[in-house]
Amino acid sequence: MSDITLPPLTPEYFYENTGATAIAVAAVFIPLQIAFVCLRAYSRSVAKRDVGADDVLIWASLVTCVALDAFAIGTTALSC
Amino acid sequence: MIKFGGAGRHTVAMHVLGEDETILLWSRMVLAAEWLYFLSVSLPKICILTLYLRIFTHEVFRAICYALITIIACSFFVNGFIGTLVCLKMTSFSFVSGHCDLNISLFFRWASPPNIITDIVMLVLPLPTIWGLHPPKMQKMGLTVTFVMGGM
Repeated sequence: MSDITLPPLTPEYFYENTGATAIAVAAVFIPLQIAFVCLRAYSRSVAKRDVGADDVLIWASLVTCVALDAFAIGTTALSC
Repeated sequence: MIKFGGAGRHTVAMHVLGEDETILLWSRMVLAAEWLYFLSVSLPKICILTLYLRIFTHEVFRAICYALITIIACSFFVNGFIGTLVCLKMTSFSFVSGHCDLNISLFFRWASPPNIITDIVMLVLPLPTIWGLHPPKMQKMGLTVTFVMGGM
């Protein structure tokens, strides 16, 4: 199934590398999401509400998101 | 010189430079991370919806929440199985070699709309409830900002 049309092979296109952007985005989001989830956990502990499904799911979400970011950095950064 | 992933570069360029091995490796890693990717898209959304279900009591609102959870869970399983099982011949994930019955660009194009639509509904959903409350004006604005922040 090849419905891909090739763009003109200019040198700019040929040597384009957006890897650094991918690494930067993933690297910024890892501490950001950890910080937000921790802040949330803190505010929940201050509010002393019952533990619900969302309080458990948020940690599972954090784990998968951080793992995906690490994967993105891994596939890109272990390269050069 | 890319030795490992090769993400961020054009497949055509890599193919011409004789780096098919790297493309193959990248394809395998993407295939391995497919479930992880769909999990990290769906889990946070389901988490937010369970939070909505705890906070809001309106019947229609709750029905929409349950519908959204169902849609997200369905698209999670469908995308996961399509992404990992339909095209087990790894080379096919790139267009360099191999044949695959899965039209990759069609898959990527149509796997996203359910995500985007549920995102928008989830953003708008709590707003009528918040605006229906009667807290001080600043608090109301703060609540709106808090819930709309999810849009980032």
